Amino acid sequence: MYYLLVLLLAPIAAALIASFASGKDGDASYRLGLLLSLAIAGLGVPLITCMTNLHVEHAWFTLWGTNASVGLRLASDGLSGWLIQLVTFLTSVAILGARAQVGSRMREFLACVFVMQALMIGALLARDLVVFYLCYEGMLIPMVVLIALFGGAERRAAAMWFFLYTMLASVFMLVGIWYIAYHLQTTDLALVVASAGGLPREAMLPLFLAFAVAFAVKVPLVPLHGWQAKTYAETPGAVVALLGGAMSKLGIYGFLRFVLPIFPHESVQYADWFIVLGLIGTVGGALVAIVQDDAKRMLAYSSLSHLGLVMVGIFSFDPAALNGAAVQMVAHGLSVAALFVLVGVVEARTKSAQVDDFGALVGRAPVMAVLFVIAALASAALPGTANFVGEIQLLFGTYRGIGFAAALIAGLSVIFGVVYLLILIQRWFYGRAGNLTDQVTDLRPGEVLAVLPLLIASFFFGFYPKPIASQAGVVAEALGAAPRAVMRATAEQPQSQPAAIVVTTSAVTSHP
Amino acid sequence: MIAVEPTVLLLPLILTLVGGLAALGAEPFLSRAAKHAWLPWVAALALLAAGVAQVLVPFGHAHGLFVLDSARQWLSLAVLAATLLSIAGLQQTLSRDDYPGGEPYALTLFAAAGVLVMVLAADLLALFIGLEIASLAIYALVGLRRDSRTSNEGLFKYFVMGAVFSAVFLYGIALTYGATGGTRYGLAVVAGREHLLLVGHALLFVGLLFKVGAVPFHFWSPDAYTGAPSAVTGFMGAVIKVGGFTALGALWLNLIGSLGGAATTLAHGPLALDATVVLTPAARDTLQPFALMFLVVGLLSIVLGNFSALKQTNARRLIAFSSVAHAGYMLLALALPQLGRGELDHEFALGSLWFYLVGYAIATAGALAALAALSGKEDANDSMQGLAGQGRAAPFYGLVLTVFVASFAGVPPTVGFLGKFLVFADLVAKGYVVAALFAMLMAVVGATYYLRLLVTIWAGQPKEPAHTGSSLMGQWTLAAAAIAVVVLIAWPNALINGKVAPHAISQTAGAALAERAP
Repeated sequence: MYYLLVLLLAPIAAALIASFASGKDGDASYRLGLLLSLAIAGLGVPLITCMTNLHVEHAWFTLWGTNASVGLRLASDGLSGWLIQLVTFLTSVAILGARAQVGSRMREFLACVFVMQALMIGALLARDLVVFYLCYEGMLIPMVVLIALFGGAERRAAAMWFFLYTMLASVFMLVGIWYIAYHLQTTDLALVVASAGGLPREAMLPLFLAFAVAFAVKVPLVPLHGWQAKTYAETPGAVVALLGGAMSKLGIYGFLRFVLPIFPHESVQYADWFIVLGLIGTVGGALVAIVQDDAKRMLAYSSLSHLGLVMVGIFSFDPAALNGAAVQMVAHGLSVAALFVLVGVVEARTKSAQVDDFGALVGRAPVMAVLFVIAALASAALPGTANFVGEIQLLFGTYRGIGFAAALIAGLSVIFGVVYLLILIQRWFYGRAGNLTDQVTDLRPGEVLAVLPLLIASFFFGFYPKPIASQAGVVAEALGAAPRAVMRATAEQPQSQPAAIVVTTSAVTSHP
Repeated sequence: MIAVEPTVLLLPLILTLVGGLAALGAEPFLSRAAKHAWLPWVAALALLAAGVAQVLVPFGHAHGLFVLDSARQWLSLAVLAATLLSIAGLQQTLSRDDYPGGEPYALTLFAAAGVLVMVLAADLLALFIGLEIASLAIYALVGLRRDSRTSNEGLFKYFVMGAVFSAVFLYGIALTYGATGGTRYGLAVVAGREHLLLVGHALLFVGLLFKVGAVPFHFWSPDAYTGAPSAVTGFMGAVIKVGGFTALGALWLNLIGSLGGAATTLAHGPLALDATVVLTPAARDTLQPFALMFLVVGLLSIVLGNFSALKQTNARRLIAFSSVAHAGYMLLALALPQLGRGELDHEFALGSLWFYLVGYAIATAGALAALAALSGKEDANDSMQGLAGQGRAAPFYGLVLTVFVASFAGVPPTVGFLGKFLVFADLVAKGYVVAALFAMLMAVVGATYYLRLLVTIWAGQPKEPAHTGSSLMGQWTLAAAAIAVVVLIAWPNALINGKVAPHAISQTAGAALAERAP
């Protein structure tokens, strides 16, 4: 089956077509790019409809001194499939939303966005440690170029921060991959998971930390969130829609796909740390968001808060929480992308996203106001939206898996989440007119087209979450099976050493 | 199978030389504009023909002097590709600057021919001749801007130092000859002269470390890099590294092999560079000092190169110091496996070095050709300030430069990433986890200044539009090279660990020689 390979290479081809075919005409590039991105999105749909369980392997190279043959091992299951839908559709949304901000530089924008898309799809399909790392790390350069090209006044610093944070964090993972390849003689994820017990005991903690830190930066998890607010604030809204909507999910995906199955003992042993850090991020992010005077910074901290909750849920290892995490990843991607596209529109018109610069926008831009309020309510997990489904599952799983206190603290963040969003809505759309209100015009058709499907999808999955829950959610539940087994075994034999426990990994490695 | 005269493996080299001679012969008959319009195409044609020939000529060896195997084939192709990029860059630079002569194109091809000799050589004298052909042509190219003081300074330093280290190298050849009774690589040492062999090789290694610009022999590179026109800088940085490291790796591989009892004999033929050689305990004991020296020099080069590059404000000086760091990364591939590593204890191969080298050569030639296009008349505008925002002004050159610089920085999905990946993975497999981690952290330091260059190019506002001077050849070769830098990651197996066809040369060559024996 070459389907997965085609899906992986299609965005690369699109990047080449977009960068060679179109010249100075930004509008022609825009139409071409939109068409290509929609075609790719269509190409990806079978992953969740008729080709939900694919697995291919192409030989690549053998690492010297080992029998570890690195291969282009690609596979798709419900979780990968749904996140790929998120990536492909948010790419179209980003292109739609970016038109005003990018203007005649559409060609460079498209080249970077399509390369990023290919690498995100690659990371989600990869079932080989090296291939995953290649895609995961490869996103940095196109992202940096996007920030440097289209960012705000502080774009240099933002690009540098983003790059250094993420690269420094993943370096250790790369060394860890070499170590694993040398000791287990393989880089095939399924084999690594099955034989992770063969790694030297003393190496497990450093390896666990190496992987966890690499993913925690991307999520981001407190205290590794230093790059986020700066980067989000300096990056155009449409690009943040892709960054915050899709790319940050790769960090969580990494925890689900790699950390929990490969390091079940360490995950259980250090779960408290991640839960505490996640809770700090959840509540702290929501509180810090309230006092921000820049809308994009506010939404950055809001992301920190929402994804912190997802991390708490994942480290409860509770099936409901893991299912909720999968739903929430898609739901958060939809709502945060909608919000960032709308803020990006305001920013494109006025070169500002300050909370105090605007007011009474409901008169000048009624369509924007309506969509913004709906998106904000979705983000605040209004019942009826997919976010509600995700968060309620996360909170329930947290309550069942960790305890009442954790669920209560996490629940507080939902309340604070309503506070900052209402502050933003109140300042921007009601109240007195700000000094830049005059420059804001209402949404153009293309911009409505970027946001509306996201909101429709959010409500659709709010009422009918079954497709996500039964495909992505079930896979996430299975990925948490190994740590759950460790927890059970530890509970039954409190005196025994964790390493003596045999983990059944059949649920995790069951994909063909 | 048709019996082919083994000398046919020199065909790419011959075609390159013919191209150079044709360009040189035609030069006086052309007007100044026509020189830059036509001569590069003559050179490019010769290089393309050489590239095709390089793919087609069979592996084997010519009288034990020159060898062709899969690693050498890739390295030669990398040299040809780097030369083509530099020719395109030169055309752009020289026509923009209205340079009076057309001889740089011929000189570039001569230098490329010299490097090809270095790559193919399996004999110290052949290697030396290649080294001198390449060096002399490159000295002339570095001093192309006769009126520029920096150019003259760089040329002078490079030439004097180069002459001194050539002498050192030659003395190493003499001592090695004394120890083995021949000038072929990897001959068995005459009993009782082991120390002479080691001293001779020490001198050979010093001479080559100078050529590749490793610490502490790196002082010429920043001046030579900034003195030369950018396109020449790229050429020099790429091909000299390929030639120097191929020779260094070949000598090292042969030394390990010969001390391990696999000395080159007429019955076996010369060693293929993609071969895995046997590392005996005795050879390990004898060579451990050398291996440690490579490791220490490598790490020093990485530290010094990266931290010096960090504070540079001139793009070419930055790349010059970073090339010192790259030499350091490549030296790490020469480390011997530590004891107690199972199978690895008695095996040694250099696939990761060859892959790194191929990727580095293309990226270097490409990056500096793109930089030449962005840095304006006489390459004067190559400071960070001057380059600010030039990517916005000339997006094509900005994009290809981004790809090459990403490859330098070792960011996937580029050959630069896979090269570092393979070298460091080897290092972990050989038991140097800490060294690999340290080198990786240094690579992040390296990525910092590369990123600063990228961010400068894209984030700034251009003060004046880039005066690129249009070049059809420049754009097509750069686009092809940028794609190659990404696509080549698909085929590292052709170069690493000799598992493709280990010892293929030795066997076929041995058989061929046996047939030819009277």
